[in-house]
Amino acid sequence: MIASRRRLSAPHGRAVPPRALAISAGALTVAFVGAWLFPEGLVEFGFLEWLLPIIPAFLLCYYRGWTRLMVLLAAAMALLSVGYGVAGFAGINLPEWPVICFVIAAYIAIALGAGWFREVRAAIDERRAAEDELRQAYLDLRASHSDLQLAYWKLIESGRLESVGRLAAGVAHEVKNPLMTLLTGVHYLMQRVPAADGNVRTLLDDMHTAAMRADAVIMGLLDFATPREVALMPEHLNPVVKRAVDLVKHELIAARVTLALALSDGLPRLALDAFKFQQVLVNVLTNAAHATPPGGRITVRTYNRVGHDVLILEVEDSGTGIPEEAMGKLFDPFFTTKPTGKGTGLGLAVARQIVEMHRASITIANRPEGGARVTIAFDVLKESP
Amino acid sequence: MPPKQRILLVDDEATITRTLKLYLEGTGLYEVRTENRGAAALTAARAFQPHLILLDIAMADMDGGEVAEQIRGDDALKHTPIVFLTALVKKREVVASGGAIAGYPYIAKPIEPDKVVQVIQRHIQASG
Repeated sequence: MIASRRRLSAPHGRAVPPRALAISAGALTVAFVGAWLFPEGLVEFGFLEWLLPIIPAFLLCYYRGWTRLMVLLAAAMALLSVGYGVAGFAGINLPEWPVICFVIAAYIAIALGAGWFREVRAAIDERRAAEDELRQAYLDLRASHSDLQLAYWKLIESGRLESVGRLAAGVAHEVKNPLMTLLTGVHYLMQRVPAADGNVRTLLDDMHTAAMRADAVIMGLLDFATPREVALMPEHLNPVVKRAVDLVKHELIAARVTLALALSDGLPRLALDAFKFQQVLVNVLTNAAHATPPGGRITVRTYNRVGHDVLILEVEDSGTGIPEEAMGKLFDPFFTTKPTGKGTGLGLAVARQIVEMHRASITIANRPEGGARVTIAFDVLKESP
Repeated sequence: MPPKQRILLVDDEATITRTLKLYLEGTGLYEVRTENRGAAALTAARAFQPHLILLDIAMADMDGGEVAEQIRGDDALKHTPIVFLTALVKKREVVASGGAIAGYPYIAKPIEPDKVVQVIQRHIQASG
């Protein structure tokens, strides 16, 4: 919150009228001329020590616009100077108290003036604090603006995806039925075409592959665009990993890739949607299998990061790694580095979506020793039941 | 040669019923009757007395669930196994739920027809 500004009295906020200034100047002149003409007077009381401090008091009165006090001080100085000088010249001994009272009045004026300076300093400090608050408020506002903009884009994206989701569900239903017809027909023809008829067999195999690919795209699109809800339950991660590995083991065997599990014991439970998270692992493992040449190795590791309440799941492969230019696009829908027909480009987009629904993070990096590493990090404190 | 199993195939997509009938009958294991209207499925089932009914869910005239209820309500058909063949669920969902959703076995379209044969055989054998 921004502090209210304090109104300051400017030094010349209330200007001393020229007449009062003239009177004061005249009185001061009289005072100093009197002191000079009749030094026996005030010098006796210590003129310099007593009356010189009056000068700053006079100036302060001028700057604050205290006209009456200024005129009074000047007049009192003149009166005292002339009165005490003449009395001293005449040999009359005057009492000290009028001088003492006058000087006390002058010091009170100085004290008031000093108070004003404190007031000025306080006001300056206050203004600086207000400026700092204003600056902070500006930074907060910029941050809020950025957040708002992000939320706005997310809202647009979410709305867009909701529409895409409805569209995808409708399209999927309409496309799946023709695909069923196509697949059944292709299988029927495969049984009836002589094996010797190589061209027709190849054609039918291609049609079969095309139908399966279209099915995979529809599945990926549905996964990516259908309502994003997770049913989080307290689950141990390792059994979910093992189930996912079971689902891809045939693919790994076909790719002649070995899989090593390094799953730590005693890991805390996480809030997991086991079914959806299994899908993440299947996508990641399938990618790893596709990226790893025959004879290569995939390692799945789970562990608690020492000193942090973070549970890590890593999938490493011994493939060729990810080209630098592809790094920023890996999670983009329909982006794929696989050959045409091998991937839908939706696997990692869906994986990230599901990981984020678990309030976890997913990153992909190349390993210095070759291949890539996918790291999924769960915050144990937030996620543990 | 063992007698052929009677399969009633109900789906509002005529191309599906036609190609799947061809495929299933081509295996030599089945006699297939097809029906493209949900509302006519009960009558067809009563007349055909199938060993198993393959039933689509989202049909233009009648929901497959209603058709299944009608069949379950018929004394002569209430023990006939019904397998839903639908594009409404994903294969993964069927696998995750052990092949059955709400007590009914499901096949997610599209599926390779040899897998349909496997499911049909399993359920006919299970029914006795």
